[in-house]
Amino acid sequence: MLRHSLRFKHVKFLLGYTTIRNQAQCAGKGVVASAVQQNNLPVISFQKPGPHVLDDELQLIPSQEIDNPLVVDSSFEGVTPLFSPSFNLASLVNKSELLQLMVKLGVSIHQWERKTDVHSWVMALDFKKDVQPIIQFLVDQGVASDSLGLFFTKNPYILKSSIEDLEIRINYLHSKKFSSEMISRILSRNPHWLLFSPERIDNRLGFVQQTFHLTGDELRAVATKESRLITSSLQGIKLMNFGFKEEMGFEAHQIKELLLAKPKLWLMNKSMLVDRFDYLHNTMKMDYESVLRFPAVLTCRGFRIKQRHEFLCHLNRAQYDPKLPRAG
Amino acid sequence: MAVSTSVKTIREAWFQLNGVMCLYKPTQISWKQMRNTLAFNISRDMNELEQDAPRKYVKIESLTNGTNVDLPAPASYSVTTIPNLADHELVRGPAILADDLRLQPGNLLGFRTAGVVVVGLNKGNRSLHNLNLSRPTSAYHIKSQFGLATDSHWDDGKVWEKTTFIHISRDKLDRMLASIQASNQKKMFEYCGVDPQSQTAYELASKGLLRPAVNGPPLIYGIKCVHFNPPDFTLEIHCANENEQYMAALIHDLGLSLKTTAVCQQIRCIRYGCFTVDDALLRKHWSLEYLPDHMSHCHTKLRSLPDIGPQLATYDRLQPSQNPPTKS
Repeated sequence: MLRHSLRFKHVKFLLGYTTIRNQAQCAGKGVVASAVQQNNLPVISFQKPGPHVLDDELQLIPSQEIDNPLVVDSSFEGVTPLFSPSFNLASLVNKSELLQLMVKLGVSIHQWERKTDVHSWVMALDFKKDVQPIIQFLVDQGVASDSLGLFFTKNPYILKSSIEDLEIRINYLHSKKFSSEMISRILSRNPHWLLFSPERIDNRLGFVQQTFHLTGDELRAVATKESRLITSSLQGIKLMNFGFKEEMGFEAHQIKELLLAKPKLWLMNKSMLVDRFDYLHNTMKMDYESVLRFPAVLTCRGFRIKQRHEFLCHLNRAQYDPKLPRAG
Repeated sequence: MAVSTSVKTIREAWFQLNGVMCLYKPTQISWKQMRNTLAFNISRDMNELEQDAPRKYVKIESLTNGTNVDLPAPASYSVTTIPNLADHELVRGPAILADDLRLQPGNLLGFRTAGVVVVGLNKGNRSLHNLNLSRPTSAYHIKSQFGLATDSHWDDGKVWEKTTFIHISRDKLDRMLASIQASNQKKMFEYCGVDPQSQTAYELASKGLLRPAVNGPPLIYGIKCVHFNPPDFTLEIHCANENEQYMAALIHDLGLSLKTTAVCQQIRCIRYGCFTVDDALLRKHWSLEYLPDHMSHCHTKLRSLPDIGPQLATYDRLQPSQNPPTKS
């Protein structure tokens, strides 16, 4: 478990966190990093109040008195030892309310450490100011509360966004006639959607509409059914179209039919898909219409198709044209 | 070496995850893919077992709400013990990662070869290493066809040449295979530095000690035709130190020596040492629930092998004065 933990980004975390600590201290009053739980221990002033800790008025104190431990600062309440540098978030969990709340929601802190650089800024977040409004916003938009954990695991960066930005993005969707159910489905299935600005989303929706000649309703249906298509690479969509048209030989209207039935195909690996289609069409003699009727066969793993086909061959029932009798 | 059915916790199961297993490798899959699938399946199944209880975290809080520096130390603290969140699955991550499992192959089959692969798990790698030191032979079934020569020596390569094969009879083929076997036997003696006609050679061969060193050239111990239906034919080969390229080239050369051409259709490893196809686990059984019985079966097989002795004999090149070759 610890094997992967000693990575460069964790060293960065060590360096990063010390700066965060300073930033929190420079925040003015309320000296202690806000994520730290107040232990209400009596003030044992082992920490000398340095110049960056005191507020503005006290800067007038002459230099001899700056380090004077007898000077009582009323804003200096409940000093708690700050966190020492740590190489994973697990050691901070017991003391941090924010992280405890995340665990309660079902967020995988482990995934955060593995896949993102969240650890460098998450400790500086304030629950009431930053996190709670976003949770409220998402629940209002229709994201189920028990899937919030998965949402934040996949997309922790949303905790850094401002509510105004998020509202603008949702308003954009409303203006494009996406219904509330559509929006809640988009958000639940694709946590990354809200990170895209309205201009980018607009570009992408326009691109998809023009490439496939979709009507407004069709575009909305595709975006709802597979919202990851809109936030994935456009170059990938172009490549996949090339694959369908040139390498597999589908017509334009057939490609559109495939898109409406199973947009997930555009997120797959093109060469694997082409190989699979090659087997279906040339070896199993499945024609285009059959594939269009059951597009899910293209998402089925190659070896399963082969096993079933060989089994049917063995039984002499390997024949997929529904017009002929005993189609397998 | 078996995981008994009463094992419920990950910890108990982990200490029993040691041994040698025998898998059936499908074609068109590399060892890396196979290893990753197996490791992922095992770790997924392991993580579903019972986890260790989280450690305790002792929380000490003062009960007095003192903020005044001048108060003496409070008389009472509250001490609570809560489960340590750092041990929570979401924070610490899964108990077993795929990387934690050390899986080593006993024999490396090529990408297009299917068949028996012997795999060692954790401490079982030691037994596997000892097995490999004994230089076991492998047996292959190679399905080939006459009449075609391609660049990759496989039937789906770029066709170089097409020839007739009517003139080939079973008899001719058998004779050619016998001569291949004989020349390989002779080479074996030469690699040991021993004249095949000498007494030393007889003694060596009768003890069964003629095995090549680890990185020697491929050696064929036995080759015969098990199925002959021109253009298709199947060869059974017993060999050591082989690789896929060598066998495909062998088929190609065989075709040339029979004044026709030949390509491989399918190479299948049916035996490695004492492990045969009947012992091998199919892909659908590559998971934790089938492993215990299987590993104990493999273990029994290994235990029943004869003990060869500490070292295989190595022979230096013969000096001219020693053991002059006698013609029999």
